[in-house]
Amino acid sequence: MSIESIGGVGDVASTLGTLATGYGQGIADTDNLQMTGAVGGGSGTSYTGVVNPAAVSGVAGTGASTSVDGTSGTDFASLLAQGLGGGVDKLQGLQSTSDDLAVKAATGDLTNVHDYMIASNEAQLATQLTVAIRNKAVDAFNEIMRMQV
Amino acid sequence: MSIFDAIGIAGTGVTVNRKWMDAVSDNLANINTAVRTSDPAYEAKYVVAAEAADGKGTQVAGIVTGSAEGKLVYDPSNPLADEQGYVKYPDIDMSTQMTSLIMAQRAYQANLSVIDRSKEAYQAALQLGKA
Repeated sequence: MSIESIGGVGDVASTLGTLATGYGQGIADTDNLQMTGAVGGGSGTSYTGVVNPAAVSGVAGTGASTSVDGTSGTDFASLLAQGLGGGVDKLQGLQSTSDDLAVKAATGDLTNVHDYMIASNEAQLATQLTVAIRNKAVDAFNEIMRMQV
Repeated sequence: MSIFDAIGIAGTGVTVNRKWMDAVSDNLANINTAVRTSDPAYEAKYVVAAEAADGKGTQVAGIVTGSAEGKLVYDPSNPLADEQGYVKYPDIDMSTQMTSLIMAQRAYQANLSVIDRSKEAYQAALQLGKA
């Protein structure tokens, strides 16, 4: 039961990671849209004759691609992964160790009972740590989303 | 091991003490194993603990065995007895073994306590700033 729940939480964490990737992309996209839209609007309203739209769009393109991708280019998911310091990989390692020992316990090949308990405890703790960090990161992300522009 | 060191280190202690209990259990099981006087007696097993190779925790460096000389006991009714009526019993002191057993058990439990406490500590750390 505990293994399943641990695995479940791990899966949830990874899916949230992918969801976060989606959010990151979303931010980048909307930012891009807003930037290009604003610039396009600016070029559309006034300086039609003087400023050629190609140059403006070129500037907008570089500005959008470098700055926006630069800030959120390590987008939310990779930011989360950085914050965890490869924690997800370690978590998966701990969980697979725990699973291996669980199989050994079931098949009677387990020589040290405590090895499984330790492995499952470590996997549980690592999951809690990952989830805690993820929650903090999501909180920070939400805080940014509430920012008045 | 690298994330939760205290748990892993205490785990090595648990393993060593389990092996110690195994050795004591082996010794106690064979305490009445009589052999012919011409044969070697059962050799008591003693676990030698050492610091782990990576400096994290402990490990079993090896098993030292007691003497095979044993002690001669006059027991002419034993089918294994020689012409003088002697058989050979292993040289194991029961009270020493029982003491070792208690020590191994307590050390095992102590290491388990370390695991429990450090787990609680880690979990408390995860609650930082929540209350």
